[in-house]
Amino acid sequence: MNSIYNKTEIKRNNTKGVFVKIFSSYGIYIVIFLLVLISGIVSPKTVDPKNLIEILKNTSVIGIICIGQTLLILTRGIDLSVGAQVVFINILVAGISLGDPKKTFITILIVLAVGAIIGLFNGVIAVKLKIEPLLGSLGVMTLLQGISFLYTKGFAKGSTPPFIRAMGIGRFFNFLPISVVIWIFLAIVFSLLLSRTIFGRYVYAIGSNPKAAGIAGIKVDRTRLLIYAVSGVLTAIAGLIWSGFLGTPTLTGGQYLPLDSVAAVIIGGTTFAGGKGRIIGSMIGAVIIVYLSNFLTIIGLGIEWKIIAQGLIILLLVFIYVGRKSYK
Amino acid sequence: MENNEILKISNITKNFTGVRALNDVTMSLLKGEIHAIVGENGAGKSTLCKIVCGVYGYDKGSIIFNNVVLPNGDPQKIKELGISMIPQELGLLPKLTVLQNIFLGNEKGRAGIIDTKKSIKISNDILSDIGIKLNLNTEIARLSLDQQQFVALARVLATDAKLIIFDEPTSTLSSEEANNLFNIINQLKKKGITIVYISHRLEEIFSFADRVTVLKDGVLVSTEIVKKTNKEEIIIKMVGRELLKTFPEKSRIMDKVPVLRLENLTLKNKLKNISFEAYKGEILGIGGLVGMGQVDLVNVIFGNEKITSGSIFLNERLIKSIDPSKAIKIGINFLSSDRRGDMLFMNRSVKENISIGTLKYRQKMGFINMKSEKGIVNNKIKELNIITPNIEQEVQFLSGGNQQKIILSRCLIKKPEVLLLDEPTQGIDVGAKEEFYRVIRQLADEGLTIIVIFSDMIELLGMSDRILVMHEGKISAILNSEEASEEKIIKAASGLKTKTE
Repeated sequence: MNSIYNKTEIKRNNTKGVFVKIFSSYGIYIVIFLLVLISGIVSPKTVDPKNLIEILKNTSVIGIICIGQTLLILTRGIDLSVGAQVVFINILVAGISLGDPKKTFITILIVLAVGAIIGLFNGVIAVKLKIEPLLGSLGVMTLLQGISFLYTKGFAKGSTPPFIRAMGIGRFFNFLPISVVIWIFLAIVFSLLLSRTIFGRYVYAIGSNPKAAGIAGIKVDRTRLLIYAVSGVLTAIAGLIWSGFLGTPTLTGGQYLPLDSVAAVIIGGTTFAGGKGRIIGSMIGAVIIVYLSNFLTIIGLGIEWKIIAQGLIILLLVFIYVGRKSYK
Repeated sequence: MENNEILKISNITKNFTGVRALNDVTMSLLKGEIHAIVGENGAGKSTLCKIVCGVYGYDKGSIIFNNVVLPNGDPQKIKELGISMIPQELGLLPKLTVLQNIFLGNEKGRAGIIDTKKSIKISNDILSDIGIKLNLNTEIARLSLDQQQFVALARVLATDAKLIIFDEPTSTLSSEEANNLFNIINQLKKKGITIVYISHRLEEIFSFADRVTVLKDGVLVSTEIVKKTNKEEIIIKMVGRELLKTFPEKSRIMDKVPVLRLENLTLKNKLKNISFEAYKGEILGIGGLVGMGQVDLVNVIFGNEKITSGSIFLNERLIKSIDPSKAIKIGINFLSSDRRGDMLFMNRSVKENISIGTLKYRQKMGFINMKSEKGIVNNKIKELNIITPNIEQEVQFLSGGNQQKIILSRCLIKKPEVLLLDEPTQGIDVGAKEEFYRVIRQLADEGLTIIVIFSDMIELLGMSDRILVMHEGKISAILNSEEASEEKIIKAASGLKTKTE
């Protein structure tokens, strides 16, 4: 009896939507391939190794943020305060160290701790107070902007110590940016965490069905808080690199980070419904976003075109992902 | 067309992207009859009814209603002609009032202004006609499930329906509520309304339907006059083979070694002074009317809810505080009746669904031992005969029976001592049910203590070694299987004292 139904069900799954399946699993690779191909034909300068390295360097900050954002969106959370966090961390780096190399270590330590606390704060709002994280983190974003102003009284002082500066602009062998190495290292670590560890399984389980996760014996609230804290630390690391890029504290910038990071994660195939998605997807999503703006700048088109193109790519991929969902 | 034939379905065929859901179905409905449609999950019952209502279009065939050919796949038009369906999810808007829901999409009024007076009059007429009292200004969310069903029915009657299709209306009702519904359906029949009644429960059908049609794998097996057939015959037609013995034999040896003991357990407003023992290797059935604290009881034992007072002992050791994670650790596991909501990770693989929760016991420095995990999962798949193309398949593509086995095997990886089951056979088809009974009995024979909630009387009597009956959060009887009878259980369930132990 049973087997008859199963055979038909399985058959439906295998034969139908092979195209959709391939496209939804590999759509993002196809998109980046086409992007590189088209940009290479239109303007060979874009695919010059030097420029490609530059693109990766510019991706490192948003890339690291996207790791945390992926963990959050996988578990039905989100953090829109990442931009304000990065700005705040930069100000903090300059303010605490005042550019003194001797204070490098303690500065990094404090900054990472602050990152964890901000993440945890977002987590408590979402997990314990059960406030929609989209709104909660929006509040935290504004709060952080205010605190940044308060801390600097409008004029940020100090500068970035050399070591942290190197995290942003330093290169191994005069070629490979340190920031890129840090980013890729973290991406690999978290990919492994997601695919090989119990923590990873719990992340997917909680995202897929939080209630069932609790009944299966997972400490759901605790795990979600941990994810928020980890995401905060990752954003702090991104903040250190950002600080290294700039070299001076500034109250502006970072305003694109929240939406760009969420866009990268969504382009990368992680679903808002939770429980589906991979770090690698988000990383390529982040590269696509930076690549686009680089390419359009090279061919002389402004930021407005980058935003339009990015919008189109999001719509295209979301359309494909929805196709994947509906054939189920 | 015969004289009293109201609906004639001829040669209906329906394909869903490669799967034939209905194959050449021909049947007719007589005016004013109660016509039951039965069949296993996936037999095509709901599909057929949705085609009649126009929710789905069909590929071949024709449907004639009152000498009019029904349009193919036009629900609005078909509703106007007088055919309506009450789906399982009633489709009411919880924030709106009874009155607003009754006339949803069918508002009485002129020029866009609702004629409240007229609406109230019509509603009251309809409700008193079927003998129901409801405050028209109550929000739907405040009504009980059976009251909500009445609202859904009133809404259908407000459209002057001549043919009403009920899709498993009693699946969420207690037996008392169900009886109310049967009375109402009988009244509708007297008024000349034709009823189509989809159900899993054969008892219901034999208590009040006129004719019954059996569907199997999208094919109409036969239509019988209820008075001229019997349950066994219908089951054979549904399953396609004989179910000689539905329930496995009960265990004869019982040492009465208490594994789980509850003492004066109380949960605020839900459970009062619950005390009982569950023995090693027994199946302790929990019965009673729906919502009398049975589910709260298993939830408390599993740690889903915190007890107000009282104590729980496992192997004579007091369990101080308990949550699901600890319960699993000390050997208590739980299968909720709401598979999709409480148990399954639908978009994750068979492997992950089985191994989650016991990964802690299968790791090296935080890393999952993939090989050992795979081995264990494959073992369980073989042991419980789970049918899946591979272990990476997402569970949403498997049938209800297989999904149920997946969560059962999850609970069994780390052998529990006590297994709590809430309606384990709900929503799985007859063949799979039988297999499930065998598995449960086998587990008990291996020494597991199984505490299981059954709202189906036949299951409760057929499977339990002892039966604990609950009424309003208290235990009203504990019966041994020899002394237990339907009558005694019903008595105890309705609160009449028959305490025997």
